[in-house]
Amino acid sequence: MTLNTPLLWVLFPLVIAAIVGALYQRKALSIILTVITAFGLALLAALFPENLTLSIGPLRLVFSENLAILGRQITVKYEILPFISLIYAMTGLWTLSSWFPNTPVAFRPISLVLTALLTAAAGVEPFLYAAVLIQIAILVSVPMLSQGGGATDRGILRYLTLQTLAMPLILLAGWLLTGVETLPADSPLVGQSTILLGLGFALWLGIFPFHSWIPMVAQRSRPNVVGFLVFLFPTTILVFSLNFFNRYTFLRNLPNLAETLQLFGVVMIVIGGLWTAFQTDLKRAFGFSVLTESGFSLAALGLISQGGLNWLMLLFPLRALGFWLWSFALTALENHAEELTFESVRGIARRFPILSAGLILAQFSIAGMPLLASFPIKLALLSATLNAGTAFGVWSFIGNLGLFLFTLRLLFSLLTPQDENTFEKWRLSEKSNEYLPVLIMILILVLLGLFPNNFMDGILNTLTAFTQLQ
Amino acid sequence: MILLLPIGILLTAALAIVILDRIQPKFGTSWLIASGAAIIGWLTIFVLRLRLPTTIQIISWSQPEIPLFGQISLLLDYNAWPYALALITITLAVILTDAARTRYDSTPLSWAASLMITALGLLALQSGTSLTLMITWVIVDILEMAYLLRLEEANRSYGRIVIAYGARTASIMMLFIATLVGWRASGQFDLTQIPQQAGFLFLLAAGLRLGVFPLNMPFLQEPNLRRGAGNIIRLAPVASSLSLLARLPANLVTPSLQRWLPYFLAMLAAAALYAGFRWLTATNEIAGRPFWIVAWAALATTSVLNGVPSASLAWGIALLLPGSLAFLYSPRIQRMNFLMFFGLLGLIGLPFTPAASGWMGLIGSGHTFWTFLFLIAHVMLILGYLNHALRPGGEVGALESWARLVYPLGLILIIQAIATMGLIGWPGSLTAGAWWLGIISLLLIIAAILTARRLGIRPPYLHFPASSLLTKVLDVILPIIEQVLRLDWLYQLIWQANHLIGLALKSFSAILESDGGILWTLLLLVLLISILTGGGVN
Repeated sequence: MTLNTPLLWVLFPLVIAAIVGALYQRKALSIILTVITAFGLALLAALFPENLTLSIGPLRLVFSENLAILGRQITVKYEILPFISLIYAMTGLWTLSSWFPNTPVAFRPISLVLTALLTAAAGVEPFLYAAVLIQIAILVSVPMLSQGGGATDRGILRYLTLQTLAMPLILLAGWLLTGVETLPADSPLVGQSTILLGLGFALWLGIFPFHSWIPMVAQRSRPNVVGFLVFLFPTTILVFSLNFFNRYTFLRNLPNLAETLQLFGVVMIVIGGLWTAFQTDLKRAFGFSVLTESGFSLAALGLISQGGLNWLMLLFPLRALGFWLWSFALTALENHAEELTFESVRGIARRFPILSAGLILAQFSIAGMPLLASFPIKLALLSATLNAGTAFGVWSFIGNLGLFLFTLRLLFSLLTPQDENTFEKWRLSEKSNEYLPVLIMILILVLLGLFPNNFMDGILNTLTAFTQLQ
Repeated sequence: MILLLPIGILLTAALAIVILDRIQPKFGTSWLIASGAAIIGWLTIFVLRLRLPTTIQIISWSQPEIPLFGQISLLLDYNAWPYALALITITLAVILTDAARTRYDSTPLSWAASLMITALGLLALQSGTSLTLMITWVIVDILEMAYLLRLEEANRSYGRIVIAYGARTASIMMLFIATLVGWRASGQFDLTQIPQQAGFLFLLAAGLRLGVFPLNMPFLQEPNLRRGAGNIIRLAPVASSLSLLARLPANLVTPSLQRWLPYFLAMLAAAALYAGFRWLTATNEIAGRPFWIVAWAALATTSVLNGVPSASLAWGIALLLPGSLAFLYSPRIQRMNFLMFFGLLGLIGLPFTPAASGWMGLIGSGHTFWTFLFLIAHVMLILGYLNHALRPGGEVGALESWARLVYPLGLILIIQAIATMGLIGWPGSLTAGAWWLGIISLLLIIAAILTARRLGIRPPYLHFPASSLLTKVLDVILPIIEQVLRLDWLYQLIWQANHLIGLALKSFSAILESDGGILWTLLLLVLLISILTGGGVN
């Protein structure tokens, strides 16, 4: 019996999403279904045999990598499976947190749809159709960001506008690129297509000055939904961007491209760090920290000749886990505090010590605090940035301090009693379904921070899909 | 693997005590477990003296298939061993002397805390690489903060606790950047080969942690950290920073930093003098402990700046061992007061005593005005020690018979460690050193004691008559100095700057997020492109 991999990782989750969507009123069932599907597909992707043949007792299932649909090909190669495993695992983890009250019911089915669409985008041929699939994903994501009725949120409109602007730019760039390969390097088309491509990706990734939707959406939507969004889209788009580098020699050989990417990376790190450091709104700070992380991704891309792609890939899962814990703690605290500002969360650590610790450690992990998950990668990346240029290295380091500063300010606020004259005892007010996931994730972050080699080499296999970038 | 043995034993014992305390609390059994583990740890560290340097690689992140750098390793060398012995000795002494403090802060959980903090302290001071040091510092800091926040009075001093934690985090960040600079200068290195280019940043990291360089003392009024676990929690982080100081390169003051050296020395001299004076006039040794730490740490840091990092060992050991002798001497027993005089052995700096090798660190390239100021600070520290040691006491009747045996044993153990340091502590510990400075210091001490007696100033503690001019002047000056040293002015300045920058960023953000935000975005984009393309000139 011959099947194909896109059927498993694209069509099957779409079907499940439809069922989950139909069962939206049965919260527990829809969570179980989504989580099992997501984790099941993640596990399958992680363990899938290289010969694409599954033997279950007498049954032997041979898979092909392609699925023809409407005259296009969707390909899910074996090499890309580690990445697919990551995004499905994280989808499962995030939908697990959707039991929190006030999480939009649309979040569960949409999360599966988004992951399926972006999986397809990573392997569609002609690959420019990915832009269309990404645009569909952006449109589909809107309902999960909305907080019930009322006027449309300006942040979501901004998100939709800026992200939609990216699609024509990418398509136009792709159209130009088909001719560029045969042109001499000094042709003006080379520069024009590169600028269009750069602008398109800048819009998609929320690069300064196109970032304004991120804090706006973060402030108004549920943190767990935002966390999922800001992990999934930039991560998949960055992997998609590798297609361009892999395919077009002129892009790889473009003079100053590495420096430009590094420059934008450092600018993003500094701007994101500054904005994060001075926030008083916890949700907006989460949004601004995404800018810093995008900066690190760009810096890693700019260091492609020094092995930057490895750091880029290694950052994905660590960042995902950090974002997950951060958004989980924020979502949980949002249920206990009126709003998530420094003033509102004053002294909350004495009542919710584990959630508070989770929040602080998640932020420290993302910032690259020693002992925690991102530290080994941030250390290597900052070291390479410093070696590439003193100014780049120093500014990256300073920008990265922004999140540390914010975390210390937050810690101060979490510990400051509402009334400084009354003695408040420490007590554990969290429920087990709030503190257990936090404790488990803290443990995972520590283990990853100490033994990055033991857990992380799988994700690097994704790079074998990009043969020209080896 | 033997390096991990004492750490493993201490951690296992701590865990066992906690479990026992939860299941079936038994004071005696817990004490036996704690003291047994500490004795084994103490003996192991002693045995390790025969195998220096000993190193063990625990984890290596550098692998061909994954481009990560660094390794986690432990290294016990001549610079770390004295501190390791001092720390384990203090722990054993804490547990033994705790037998006499059962009515105060001596509980099985406090012993478990002591053992755990000591294990982490050993891990930190035996760090072979800066990565290991960073990681252990993070663990120690988090545990220390958690411990302090659990104290009842933390409700009032949370601000100081967070500021102290912030200063510690800053020291870790300093270590982070120092590591990056060091790697750039000479590739991966261990802590015995810190590159000169990164040396000063490592010094700043250690100095920040010790609170001396730049001076920061968030805990001028100590939280309720008394003698047992409180003593360990105060001294273990100090030991790891001191061990880093001893490993710094001798030539860390690069030519570009040379012109700043007098300012650095001035800062350290001010810290040593002020802290020495506050130690001398403190109401008791526990109230004076933060000043004791800062003053000796200032001498140790000065030794490094003067290019004699090995001399910092002498001052570091003086901080830890004789200091602990004073801090653990409670309850006071009149006929045991003489034991305190043995503590002077580790402080006085006379030829062939442990501190004798420290003088070279204060001299550096020659006697200067700064040497004199540090000498004065040294005199004040010893006078303060005598002042606190000679306070009367008498609670012997309250001790149980077994406590009467183990309590002095704990103190004698510290004295024995001081003697050991003088003999075999580190290469060059048994030396005449700059003997004249030791003699001058002793003469100044004797002169000060005689003058004090003539003026009628006697223990229990040094204080001047309330009506005296000196008291009035000090009453005005000391609070100001204290405010300056607590860096409240700096925090307020930062707060103001923070407010202004925050306001500017908020306004900028509001513009970008307003209804016309997209137009502003496009304008910014055009500006950005024109800047990047050289303003459109070409």
